Amino acid sequence: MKRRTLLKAMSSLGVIPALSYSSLSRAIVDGGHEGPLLLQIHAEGGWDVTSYCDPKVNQPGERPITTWSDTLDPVGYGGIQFAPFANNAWFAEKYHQQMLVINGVDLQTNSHTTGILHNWSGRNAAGYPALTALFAAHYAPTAPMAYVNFGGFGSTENLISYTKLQGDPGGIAEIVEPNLQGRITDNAGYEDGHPIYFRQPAELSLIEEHRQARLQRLQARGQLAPREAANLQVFSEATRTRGPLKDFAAYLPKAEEIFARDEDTHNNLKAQVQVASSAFAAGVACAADVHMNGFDTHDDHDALHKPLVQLLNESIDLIWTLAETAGYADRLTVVVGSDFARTPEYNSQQGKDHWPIGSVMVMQKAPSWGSRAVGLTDGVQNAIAIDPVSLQADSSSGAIIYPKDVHQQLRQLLGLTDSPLVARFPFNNGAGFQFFGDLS
Amino acid sequence: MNRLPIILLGIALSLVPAAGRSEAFSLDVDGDGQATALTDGLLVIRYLFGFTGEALVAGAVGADATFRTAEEISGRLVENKAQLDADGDGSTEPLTDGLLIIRYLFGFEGSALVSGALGDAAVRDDAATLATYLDTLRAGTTGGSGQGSGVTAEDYFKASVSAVLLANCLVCHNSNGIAKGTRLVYVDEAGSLQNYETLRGFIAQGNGALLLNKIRGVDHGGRTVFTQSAPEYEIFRSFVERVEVEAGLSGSTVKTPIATDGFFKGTRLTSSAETLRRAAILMLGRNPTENEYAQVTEDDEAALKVALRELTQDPGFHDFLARSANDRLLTDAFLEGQAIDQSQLEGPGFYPMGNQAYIAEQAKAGERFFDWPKYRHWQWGLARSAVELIAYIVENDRNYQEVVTADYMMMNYAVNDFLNGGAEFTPGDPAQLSYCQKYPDAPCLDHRQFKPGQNRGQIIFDEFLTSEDTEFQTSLVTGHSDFIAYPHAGVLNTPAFLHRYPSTETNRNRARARWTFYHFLGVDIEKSAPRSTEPAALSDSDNPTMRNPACTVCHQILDPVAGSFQLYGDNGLLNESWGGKDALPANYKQGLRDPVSRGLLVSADFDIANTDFETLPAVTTDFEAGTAFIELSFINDFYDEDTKSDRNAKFESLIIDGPEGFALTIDFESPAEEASFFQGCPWVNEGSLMLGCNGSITIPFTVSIAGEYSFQLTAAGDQAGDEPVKVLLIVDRERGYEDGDTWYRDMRKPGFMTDEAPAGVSSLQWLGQQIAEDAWFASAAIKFWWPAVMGSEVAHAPEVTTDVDFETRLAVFEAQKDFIDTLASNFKVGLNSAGAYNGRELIVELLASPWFRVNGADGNQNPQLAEVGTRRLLTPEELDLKFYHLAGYYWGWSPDDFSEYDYHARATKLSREYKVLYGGIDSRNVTQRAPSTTAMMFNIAEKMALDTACELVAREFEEGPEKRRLFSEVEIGDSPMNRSAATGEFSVPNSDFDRTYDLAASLIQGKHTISISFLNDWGDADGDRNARIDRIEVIAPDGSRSVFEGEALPAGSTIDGCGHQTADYYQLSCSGSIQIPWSVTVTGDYLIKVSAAGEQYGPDPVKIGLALTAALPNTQNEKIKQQLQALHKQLLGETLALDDPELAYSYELVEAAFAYRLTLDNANLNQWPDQQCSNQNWQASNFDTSDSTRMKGVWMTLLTYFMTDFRFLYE
Repeated sequence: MKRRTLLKAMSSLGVIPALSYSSLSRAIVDGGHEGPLLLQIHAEGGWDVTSYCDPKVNQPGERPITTWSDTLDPVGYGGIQFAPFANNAWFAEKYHQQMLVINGVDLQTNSHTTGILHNWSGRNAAGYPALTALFAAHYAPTAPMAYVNFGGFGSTENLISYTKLQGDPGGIAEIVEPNLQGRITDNAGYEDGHPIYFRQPAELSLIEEHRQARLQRLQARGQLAPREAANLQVFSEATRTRGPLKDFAAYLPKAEEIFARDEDTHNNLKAQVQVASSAFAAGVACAADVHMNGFDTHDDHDALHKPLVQLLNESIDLIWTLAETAGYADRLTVVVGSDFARTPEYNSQQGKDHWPIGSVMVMQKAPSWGSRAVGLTDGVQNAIAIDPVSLQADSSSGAIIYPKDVHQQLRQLLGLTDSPLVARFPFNNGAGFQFFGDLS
Repeated sequence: MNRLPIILLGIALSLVPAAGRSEAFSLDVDGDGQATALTDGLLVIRYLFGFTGEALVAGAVGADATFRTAEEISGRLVENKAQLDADGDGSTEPLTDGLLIIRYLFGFEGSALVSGALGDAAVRDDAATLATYLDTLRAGTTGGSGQGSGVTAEDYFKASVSAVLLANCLVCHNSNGIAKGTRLVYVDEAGSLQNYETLRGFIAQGNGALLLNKIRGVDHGGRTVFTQSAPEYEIFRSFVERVEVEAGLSGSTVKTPIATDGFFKGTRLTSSAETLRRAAILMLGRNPTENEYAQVTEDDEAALKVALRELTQDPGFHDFLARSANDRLLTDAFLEGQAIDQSQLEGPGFYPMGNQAYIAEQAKAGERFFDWPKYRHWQWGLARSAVELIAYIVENDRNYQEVVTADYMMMNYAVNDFLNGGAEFTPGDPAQLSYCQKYPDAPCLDHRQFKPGQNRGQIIFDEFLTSEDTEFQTSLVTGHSDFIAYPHAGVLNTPAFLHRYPSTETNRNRARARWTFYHFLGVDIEKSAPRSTEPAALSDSDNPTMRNPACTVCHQILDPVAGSFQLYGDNGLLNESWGGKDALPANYKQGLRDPVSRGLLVSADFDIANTDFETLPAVTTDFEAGTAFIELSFINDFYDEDTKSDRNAKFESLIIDGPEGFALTIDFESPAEEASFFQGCPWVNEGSLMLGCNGSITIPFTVSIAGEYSFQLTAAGDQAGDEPVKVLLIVDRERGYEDGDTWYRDMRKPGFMTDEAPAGVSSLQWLGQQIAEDAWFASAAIKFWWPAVMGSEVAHAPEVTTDVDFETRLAVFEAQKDFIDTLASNFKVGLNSAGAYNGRELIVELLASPWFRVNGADGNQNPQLAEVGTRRLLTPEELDLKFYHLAGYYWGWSPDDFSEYDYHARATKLSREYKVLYGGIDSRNVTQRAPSTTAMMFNIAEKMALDTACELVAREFEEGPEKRRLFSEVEIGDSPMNRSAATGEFSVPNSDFDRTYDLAASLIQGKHTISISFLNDWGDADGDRNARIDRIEVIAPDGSRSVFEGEALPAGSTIDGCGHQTADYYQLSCSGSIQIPWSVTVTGDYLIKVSAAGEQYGPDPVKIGLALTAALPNTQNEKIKQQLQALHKQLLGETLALDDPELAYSYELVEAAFAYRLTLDNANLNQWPDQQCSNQNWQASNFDTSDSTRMKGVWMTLLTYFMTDFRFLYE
């Protein structure tokens, strides 16, 4: 059986191969980031939460909302219910204690563009950064690739630059140490793997010394236009902060360890997770957006959605597996979300169209607020107003959850509330929800 | 006059009691309702010249003038003379202010307005500031007529606001308009009191600032109506202020707008030469030639534009156009692995010529899967069809409107062959195209060459299409109906555009419509109107795009355009339904319509298992009075060839009961034919209506009483196969599909804005024409090209007024909008004497504009300029090209890497491996370019420098100075310690020492080095090429001779490279050199004679080099400085004097690098494994890596330094 086939077979049974990357067991690189970490998973296209973390069963007198509920009931673990769809049951059982599900989040749109903007920035008007950008700018502004983005929403609002990556560790390994030309193989007189360099280190030091002096001279010139001044600053930081990247190569998975692109969904989410995890383990990154698409299932919904959900769950599992291996699980927060959700009924092509009421999942290792689902929706996926503190339904004075409420709580959970960066991007008139309990 | 008196004048005016002020003054001096140059302008300038009486007014008063006499005119002008001080210098003069006013009224702009007409102490000293002032003065809102005057808000509304409002707002804000749901709905009546009250009430509730922001486009469904520099905006602002004062609102809610006066005031622009260079680098990847530089002179904008236009004649301009167009359209996704389904040739598809060619080639190959470059070229051609069209239109100076109207498409040879396009291609050079070498029997045609053609090779699917299976599980088309005349509509129906934005049965071309609006009308429809935030509205299932105001606000604009794409199916094929009459999906046509979006009154499905008629359960619905359509469908036709059994549906009757005793029975044996519509083989048979194949019966149904109605069907089935007969009963307010329909009946009809597409023409061609003529098209073209030139998106109107940078963003937005509007107006009629809609001139104008040229500011005070001007990050494609033009090759590319699937068919490091990592796009998953460098990206830049510097330097010094790209100012002997005195290269064609190779030089007294180099080592398993040096003879000016023997080199001589000494000579066995120290004792002319021989092998004769180098201790080498000066200019765009401190810093690096290189025992550039000199193409050529002078290593260090410099990577 081919490795890929084996992995698929194992994962379909809810079993992920035990990955034991020796590369992840290293200590953080010198000067690497040792603080909190944030990873966001963008399930792009609009996921169907009624077949995921806000399970819905068919209602009398209503059109069918889920096919699985013809024969099955939702599965509950702790305070969380999941739809018995794809490999959800395995996933929920394994991770419910690490998880808070926020249901009934009103994205207020059925437009992908606006939904993505709203969910990941907290506002449906442009001008606010991604939470990952804010987080990285606060915690690790000088890390060489503090904010890594594999796709999806990545607005930085000039807080920080993002490093755009793909799930190709080979390409990354080539450039983390630019002076490395290659390694010796099969050459008598040299040990296999002996490095070959382009230039002598002393010459690189000479260039670097003059480069930094030149940058200082350029920056000291008066009357720089704003674009030049800003770009010069960012460029200068890039040259100064890249040192730890050199050691990053040792943390990257080997080619044979990298998950291939998923054949059913054409996503390489697991490879992204592996590379992001390596960056976390090395301490060169602080926040990452990983990204999968395909959730926009306007036809043949169940058949198309199932492998996507399966891959999503397997990838989340991979994140935590790698985090434990590398020893940073205690510092990691994972946020999972989407543009919006899908209609509480099937269209004539057995697809589901866009629906504004969705969900967000937040995960940490052994949190006090785990194993809970907050936010309410009715049987046909309409949002229900809830009391911000008790989180119980309250049709008279309760409030609907909007992305700004989620972001406000996440900022608090992640210790960003008092960051001076946040002052530029306030969320006013929030309902004061306490999804995670009293964090004050 | 300086500013102080003006301020005092303002204070004085403010102290005048309001009631005592005169009525509003405007440039409409004669009061005829308009301000014109030859009446009002003439009156002003005559008055300022001192004319009085008849001489003042003769021939200068309008026919409808209110003020006609000289007394009246002069009285008005005397009273308001201060306001005629147009340039604000404190005095009102005929040849400054008078001239400015009359020029302004003639419509002069820019320098034509102000040139030679400004007072020495002018405050309003630039055209923009001046025009803004005069705009205000013309509108009658300055000075004596200003706020707080005796004019009431109501009077002001009638006099000034009403006309503006009716002309600009009423179109949407009327009882039937798009904005009918807002608080501002007007009537079409000049000076209407109702309109006044509506607007006044809105402002008086504290919405003054909101109104003014809406007008400027902030969160306004109607986008920007006026920018704050427009006189109409000033009218609204003045009205708001009046209303707020009268309403007693404490303080004004009007935000102080950021003045756009002199938006670029205080900024420095690039010089003409700098602008030319930057344009050349960004568009073409190269520096301008000397001839191109010679075309520009400073302070001559016209000359700059001529030079910029010349740049666009470079063949590289084509790539710039196509690359930039792809940044918008993203159709290169099809070169990045995204399948272009339209290209299938294996089956009996829409392209029989392609299919037949493919099958024939497959038969030749003798296998199902085979390599056929032409197939890839066909796909490549389809993928590039949109961007190549745009490039073709621009580079051939065709009317840019053809982007949406062209009746042709761009085809490469493969597309031309398979679509019967009619273009002709000539074979290319096989040496340049690897597939030509691989397939020598096929015509060698470059797949990257495109020509216009018309698609006359496409067919429809109908009963004439016949095919036969091949032995390779493919199908050969053997017959088909006539080729269709494809109705080209520019980019809109290119395969690339249609397929890049595919549709679905529920999307119904809306994505295509959205992107059509975005790319060609400059409108992001998703932002064009406030979107409902009510879940109830969003979950509306009653055909919300037609009926729900929360949705129709966009869809009434979007959906007609979607409808205009009606003939193009989900994958973009024309009339792709069976029969070739439409592209509607089978589900829709068969009645399987979407109950969610349709909002059906009744939707019931029945399984009919009996062959006897049975009465099915009744279904009910509430129904308002009116007409609906009852639709009965048979949806699972079946026929078994073996048993000849056929499944059919039979309908006997439908009984409808309703309120107040309503009862109706429809007998299907004889339904009223004029009121019924049939699809699907119907016939009346034995008292029933039978549907013999999938289809439906539609019956109009009209009632006058609202209430609950029930529908009960009696039906039977001819059973066959495993399933029961399936029947649908639908009651809908819209009719279903009817034979001949080409668009959905439950959507808006194909059209554009308020116009419906006419019958009998291609609605998409018609749409293209409408777009091309639309007022937004020209400005959309500017927005389309803006990112390619400026490196950033056009500014969007900020949406949230409380954002900290709201005012900054708004100011940028407004200034850009003003610029774009003006440029668009000129683009329509013709820029720079070119014809209307000339895309080349549009790009020239953008390049010549201050938005491109901003190069410095006073301090860093102006955040408004954060995304324009110089020093933007080069994209990977731009850096790739820049390197190519410096080096002569692409980083990481060799001719063997030819690829049909890469940009311009080359796979380079920056076009493949590092493209996305270096901030580029793949047009598929990553579609936004990174704006700035990250650590990872800098590493890529450094790797490029490290990977290439050695080869660049080594190759450069193998050529003579005149052939070098970079190092034309020095010889390799020039170092901080040495100066090259003479060099020469010689072929040594024989193996005997029977001749000498001579080098003459004028030398000064001092230490020198004689170098003899072997330059072209070569060898293989069968032989080796070597150089042999017998003796070196030096003849001094006085005729005396010094001799050095190869077999006995003098003390202090050094040898780089491998070699050995024999009894008679010294042999250099690999590329390297001998250096002999030698002192010149007498200054004068010397002759060096070298007796050498070659051990010949390989195709070339032995080549040796001779060099004389003089030591110059403690002296800065001027030649090195000149070389550094050239490198600063060529790589960084810096023009530095030889005594510029920056050159001194670079020289310091030369000295430091040289000192380090002297410490190395091995001077070769290849000190493997600790130092590797890459050669991107060893097979093509070897090069000399010896470095006896150490200067190759030094220049490598300098190149690495320059190629990782901020100014190399940011232009």
